[in-house]
Order: sequence, then structure tokens, then C-alpha cells
Amino acid sequence: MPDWKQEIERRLAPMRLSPTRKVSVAEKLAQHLDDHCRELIGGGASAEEARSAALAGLDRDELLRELQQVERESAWEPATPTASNMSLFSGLGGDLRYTSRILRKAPGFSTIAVLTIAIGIAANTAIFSIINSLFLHPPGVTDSDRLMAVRVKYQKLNLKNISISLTDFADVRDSKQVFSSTAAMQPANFNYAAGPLPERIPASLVTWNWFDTFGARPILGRTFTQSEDVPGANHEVVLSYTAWQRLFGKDQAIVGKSMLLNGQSYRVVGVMDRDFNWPSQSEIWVPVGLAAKEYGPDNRFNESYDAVARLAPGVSRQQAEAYAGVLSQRVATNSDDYGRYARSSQWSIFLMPFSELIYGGLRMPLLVLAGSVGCVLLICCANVAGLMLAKSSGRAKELTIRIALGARRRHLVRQIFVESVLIAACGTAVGIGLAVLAVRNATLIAPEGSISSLVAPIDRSVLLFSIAAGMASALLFGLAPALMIAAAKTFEMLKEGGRSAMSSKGRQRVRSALVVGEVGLALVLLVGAGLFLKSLIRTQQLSPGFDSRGVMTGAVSLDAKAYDSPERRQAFFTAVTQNLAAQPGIDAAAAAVGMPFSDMGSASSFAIEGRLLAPGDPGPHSDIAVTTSGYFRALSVPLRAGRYFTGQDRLGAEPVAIIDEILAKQYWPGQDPLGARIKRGKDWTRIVGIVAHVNRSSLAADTGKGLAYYPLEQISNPEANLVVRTSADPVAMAATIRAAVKSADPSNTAVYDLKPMSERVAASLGPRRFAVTMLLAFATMALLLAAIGLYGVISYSVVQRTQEIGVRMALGARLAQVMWLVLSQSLRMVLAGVAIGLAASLVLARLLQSELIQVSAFDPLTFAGMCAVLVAVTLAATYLPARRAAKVDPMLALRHE
Amino acid sequence: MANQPSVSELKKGSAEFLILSLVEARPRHGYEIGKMIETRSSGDLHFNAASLYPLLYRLEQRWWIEGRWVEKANQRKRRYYRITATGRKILREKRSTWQAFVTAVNRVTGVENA
Repeated sequence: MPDWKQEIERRLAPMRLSPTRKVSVAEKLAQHLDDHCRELIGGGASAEEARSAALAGLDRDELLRELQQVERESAWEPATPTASNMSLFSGLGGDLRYTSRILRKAPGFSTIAVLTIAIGIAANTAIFSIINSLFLHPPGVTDSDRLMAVRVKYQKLNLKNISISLTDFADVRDSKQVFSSTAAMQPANFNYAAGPLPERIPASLVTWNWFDTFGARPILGRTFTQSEDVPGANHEVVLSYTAWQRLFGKDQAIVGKSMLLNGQSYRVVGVMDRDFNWPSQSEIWVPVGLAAKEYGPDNRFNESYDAVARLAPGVSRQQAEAYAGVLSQRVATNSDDYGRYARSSQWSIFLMPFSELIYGGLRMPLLVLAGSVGCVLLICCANVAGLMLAKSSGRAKELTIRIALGARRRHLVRQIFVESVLIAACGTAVGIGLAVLAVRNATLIAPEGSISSLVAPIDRSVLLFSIAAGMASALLFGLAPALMIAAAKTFEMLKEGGRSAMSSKGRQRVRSALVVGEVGLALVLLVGAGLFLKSLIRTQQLSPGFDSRGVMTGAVSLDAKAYDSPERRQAFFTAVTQNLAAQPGIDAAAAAVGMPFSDMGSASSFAIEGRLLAPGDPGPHSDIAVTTSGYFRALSVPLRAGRYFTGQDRLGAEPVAIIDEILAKQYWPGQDPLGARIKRGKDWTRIVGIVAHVNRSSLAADTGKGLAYYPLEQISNPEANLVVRTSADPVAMAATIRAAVKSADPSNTAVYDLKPMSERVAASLGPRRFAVTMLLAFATMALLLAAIGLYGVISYSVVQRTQEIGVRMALGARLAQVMWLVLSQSLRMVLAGVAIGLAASLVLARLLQSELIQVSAFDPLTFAGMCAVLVAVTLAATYLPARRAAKVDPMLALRHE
Repeated sequence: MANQPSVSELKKGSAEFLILSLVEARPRHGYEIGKMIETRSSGDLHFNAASLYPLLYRLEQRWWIEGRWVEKANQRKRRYYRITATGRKILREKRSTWQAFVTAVNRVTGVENA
């Protein structure tokens, strides 16, 4: 038999068939030609005649025409499942090719749809990546859900969540059957002298297995060994990536080299990776190097360590929590003093997820933001659904013909979903890119101490989330157009002739419903953002109880070796504050431990002279601040009774204290505390003054806890804040403070944390302000998207109604009447959206009530204002189409048909 | 003459019906199908390879028929087509529609009584 291959391939050449398809077609045709030839030869024809006759039946044009039609059909109408590929996805390749061709042909539509989805996905990916790296997968931590923070509470003292003592730590550390690894940390500062000015380096003193407990590995060198965590042997340091980069320019040979910290040589043993930042402020880690007795029973209620514990394999969180209860019970049932105090103060050790401890405060703001980006994505989907519906009117003819040709409806529906998925996939890809940029910039503008040090990588879970969000969006925005096709009546479509097939009215109704939903969602976001904004503004106006204007602050940390006596420390602080007070432009200067909006300060129990404690009463408790005499004038804290500290309140004189009005009311109700004596430690201290209460940590949440002040001249401390009040620019005082410290101590001491007090106060609202900024951004996004959606629907409707408008104008309708015709249609949709949005906002506001400070969750002004903004913006979006309608030429319009 | 529909036009509309009928009883290969159409219609209906194979492919794509390659010694492999369950259902529908159509046309045109 002749070889037909060449001949057949020549005929198939113009078709772009896949290689397998080509072979299959050629094989079938060759067989056919063989059979035909054989039959002709059997009938008496010569071989050549038979060949020509057989080939004559394979007309090239006919073959191409028929094949092309089949290929086109299979692209439009993917194969129904066959035995060999019985799946929903058969023929998907053809669908994809066809859809991408369609999308390429409408670049305007495709770009807008992809960008709209990209915006929604970007916002969601960004927020989720933050949630992911805060709560789900904190970077640098292995199996973060198995890592617990060990905390202590004193129910009776209203201390609900504080650090633990070394004794508590030892109890947990030795429970190997429950915790596979336990580590403790105490923040510290080192003076590092390398340049002309000493520099303060924030550090952490850690037990040797700190890194192992987190499951973190160094990128250079090693971490600590147990033998390095003992007194005298702890002169090793592990560098953070930041310190390695900043201080040593990423020196690859840094391991083994030494650095001078507080005048002593420390050997660098390792460098941690960029993503390990626990605790986040720490630039270096040094072994705590404590003697074994420090972990003994005497330190039981001396809490100053943060501890983390990793659950042993197979131990659940509930089991570990129950075990912490057992440990607490063991202490409380003792008959010694510790046992009694534990019982009377209702002391106990408890566990909480590590991420919850660090970022628990961000949970609610992030949930609010997550909810709002969810709304933004829904609005984006509604907009794209609207676009697709509008586009489907342009394609109605094509769809009608395809249905008439026998294309199955479910194939067309699948086609719509393929189109949605393709748009969503592109949108997701672009969105992830945008999210990376957004997170990078968001962490830059984020307030210190919240997420500014956050590394929020796009890891596998973030990718999965974004893809899932993208696909869910595809289903959402593909749904409306798909339902329209599924519900369309073929005969009516044919009857409408594709001009306005698939019931343009129905489609317009669905688009209007989508816009109503968008407007509703946008209002919810606007009201939420408005309430939080108002709450923020009101909170910012709250007085912290002192005057923060014109106050500059800094901090110093004295080297323990150089300042080993109270006299030396006091001489330093006296020299610095006197020097500062004598400078021109400075009205008052002071040093203080426990200054408001600083992270120093402590709290403890005390006794009141002449008062016996009832059984089970743990005794009075208060926060403590230790200040020099100029402190109250420097911060303008009002005196309520008695006197401020004076220069006479020094070592050797009678120990004195000042209490705030909360403490006075709490423990001396209806009495005068002036002259009364209190005791912490050995000595009785006389109360000489009562001052106003000051808010110490956040304008948004005052602890309401009483405060006792002691003179720094009587109780010395190696670390303190410096405070100056000036009539000049506070920032300009930074140099003055540095100079004063240098003149009191030319060698060792670095001044750090220099910033105006007003900045500290404002920073306490930083996370809140950041969340409100983000919320406002998302609400604005939602508002604009809803306005665009409305514009689209109204524009389309104006085009649809051109003829009607023309008739009305021909019959004498005035310009204003025509514009009103359009505007009123838009107004109806907006008002329906506002009604839905208001109802939803009221429900949500009730849920958020506890987060709203200084403003009612149902603040009528905010609700009304946001409704007004929404109505104004959305109606403005309708103005253009309305004007276009008013400019319709009646003659042209009548011919519009 | 000009107003009379050509056989080829009528054929196009009924091609699927014809093929389904032929593979209903047993699997057949393409040439056999073409040949049977020609012989059973006494030569009135004829399908070229150029139109027959795309048509078979289309029916396969719709999962009305199922094709399978069969190899025999010293022969090219052949594709045999057999009807699927969907194909049977379609064939039943087409038969009854055709029956109804023919009856209706005959009633109208009086061919039946002639």
C-alpha cells in the first residue's frame, strides 16, 4: 500500500493541531485510504488509479473546513467526560485557550477586572501575612503553637499577667515530662564603646537554651552552651542580624572576635538570622550566668524574668495548663511564709501561647482590619461581577449562536467560571506582588513596638490563603453571570436576537443589586472607620494628668562596676540634673525611674503603720516611681496636699514618700494620709505629699493603679530617665542633655531613647492610630469602588435608555427632569444600600463597643456624617452619566434603535 | 431543480443519526461505517473521508460514541467505534423525533396515501 503519511500531512499542514492529535487523525485517514485503495484494486483498477481515486475522496478544503469546525466546537464546547479522561476538567485546555483569547481581545475589561481583584487580594494578603507572622507562624520560631509563655498572676492584687521569678522558672524548667525546653530572659542595656560617643545597645540576658527553646539556629557560629551560663563564664555574646550588620558590616569572620561591653571583653560566638527577633528590641544576647542559689525559694515572689517553655512531644496545651495549676498548688499548700502569701494573694503560675503574650493586644485591631479587607474584596468581586454582566451583553449574540449550534449550557457556565478563574488568577498574582510592597511600606510607617520590626514573609500559608481567596472571588464574581446564563431561556434569547439577549432587564437588576450591596458594605466600613477615628481624636485630647508639652526626655544606664555605691550613683544624677537646671531655656530638670510612658518602673506590696492585716489579706500594693526633687515641676504634676520632694530629702534624712490621689483614696478613705508611714523592705517611710494621678502607659487605657513616689536621692538606681522642661524647642535639648551627661561622666555612659514627652504620649496611641489609618484607607477604597460600580451601572442604563430619554425630550422634558430621571435611579440604589449598611453597622458597632474609647458605638453624628459622605460621593459618580443623558440629541436617540 | 434541497444538505442534518444507528449493534471502524452508509442508501448517501472522520471525532468528543484502537498482525491499527450510554439515549431521542417528523410531513404532503 502507498505511504499516505506525507500526503495527509501536507493536507493537514494549515491546521495547527497538537502532535498527538495530528498522528491520530493521520492514522485514521491512512487506514481509510488503505481500505478504499484495496477495494478499488479488487475491482480491477491499477494501483495508480486506485491511489488517485482514494485521494480524491480526501478533498483538502473539505477536510480543513470540517476539522476546523470540530476544533472550534471542542474549544467552545469542551468534551464531555470520556472513559479515558472522565473528569470535570477534560477539555479545560481548550477552554483556557479560548478564554485567554477572549480576554486578550478585550484588554480594557481584562485590565480593569484584574486590577480590581488585585486590589482586593493585595489588601487581604497583606493583612493575612501580618496575622500569619504574628499569630500563626512567627518568623524564626519552630512550631510556634507549641511555644508557651510562662506567666504569673496575683488575683487579689489585681495583677493579672506579669513576669515570673527565677524560682517559678526553675519549677517549670525541671518539669521535663511536660516541657521539653524552658528558657528565661531579662532585658538589659550595655554601653558599647567603639566610636567617639559611647552607644547603648539593647540586650537580653538569657538562659543558655533560649535559642533552642524557640527552635532557632544561628547563621554563623553557634549559640550558648550550658557551661557558659554560670557566674564568671558568661562573657560570650550572640549577635542579632541587625547588630551584625550595623556594628560589624556583616563581617563573615566575626565569630571568635571580641567586643567591649560595659568596659569588658565579650567573645562573639554566633550570629542569628534576620527573622529571629525575640525579644524584638534586643540587638545582642548574653548568658544570664546566675548562681544556682538564685533559682532557690528566696526569689519566689521576685518577678523580673520573661520565660518561654516548649511543650514536650505528646503533651497538649490543656495538660500543660493543668500542670501549671499543680505547680501553683504545690507552692500554695506549703505552710511556710511563701505558701501563706501565695494563698492570700491568690498567686498562681499560668501559661499562654507565646504569640498571644507578644501580640495579644493587636488581635482585635487586626480582626477589625481583616473584616474590613474582607469587605473590600467582596466589593471588588461585586464590581467585577457587574463588569462581566455588562460584557456578557456585548457577547450575547455569540452565546446565543453557540447555544443554537448545540453548545451545552453547562459548558457555557463552565466557560464563565474559567474566565473568572483566569481573571482571579492574574489578579491574585498581581495582588500578591502589591501585598509584598504594601507590607514593606506598612511596617515602615507602623509605630515602634507594634509591627515595625515585623518580618511578614509571603510563606506557604500566605500563598495558600491568597490563592484560596482568589479562587473564592472567582466563584463569587463568576456566579452572577453564570446564573444569568443558566437561567436564560434559549427561545427568548433567540427571539431577542442577541441584541439584548439574556434579558437585559434581569441583568441590569442583578447589577443594581450588586451595587446596592457594595454601597451597604462601604457604609459599614465608613461608619467603622469614622467611629474609630472619632475615638482616636477624643483619646488624643485626653490629658495624661501632666503637661507633656515642652518636655524632653532621655535615658541613661550606669555601668554597675563604675557606679557600685549609692553615693556614686546619686552624685551622678545630682550633677546631671543640677547642670541641666542651670542651662538657659530649661525651667526644671529631673531624673526618674518609672516616668510615665517609659518602660522602667515596678510595683510591690507595702505595709501601713498601725494596720493589721486580716487573714487572707495580701496587704496594700502599688506601682512605684523613684524621682529627683525637680520631677513634679518638670512634668507639671499638680500637688493636691503636703509638699513635693526637696533637696533635703537625701540619704541620712528621714525616708519620705509622695502618693497619688488614687492610692490615698484606696487605702486612706476619708482620712488624711499625710504624716502616715508605710514600709517596703526595712525602713518606714513618711508620706509628705499627695499629687494628682497621672496616666502612665497609654492614653487609651489607664491602669487606674495607685502610685507611690520615692526620692531618687534616698533610693538609688543605676538606670533612670532624664526629664527637662523647656520653653524652647524640646528636641533642641537633646544636645544639652548629652553634654550634661558627658560632663558628669566623660567616659562610659551613653544617653539613649532621646525623645520629646509628647512623642512618647502620642506613641502610646501608635498601634491604634496605625489601625485607624489602615481602616480609613480601606474604607476610602471601599467607597471609591462602590462609586465606580454605581457609575458603571448608571452609565450602562443611560445607554440602554437613550431612546426613552430621546422620546421624553422630544415630548418636551426639560434638562433638569432628564438629569433627575438618572439621578433618582441612582439615589434609589444608594438609599437601599444605605438602609442595609446602616442595619449592618448598628449590629457591628455593638460588637465593637468595648474597643471604642470616648465615643458611643452608636454616635449619631458619625452615622449621619458617613451616610452623607457616602451619598455625596456616590451621587457625584452618577453626575457624569446624568449629564450625558441630558445632552442626548432627541433625533439621534430616536434613531438609536 | 434549484429549489430542491440537495441530498448532501439533508445528509448533513442526519449524519449523526446515521452513524449512531450503524454502531448501535456492534463496534465498527470508520471505513466500514462510510461503506455501509453508501451501500444501504444504494449510493444516494456518500461520506468522504474528509468529512466522515471529523464527524466521528465530534461524536467522540460529545461522548456519544467511544473509539478504541485495535491492532491486527500485518495490518495498520484500526479505530473501532462503539455507542455509549449517552449515545443510545440520543439515538432513541433522534429516532422518535425523526419518526414524528416523517409522519407529520407524510400527513401534510399526502405521501403516505399516495
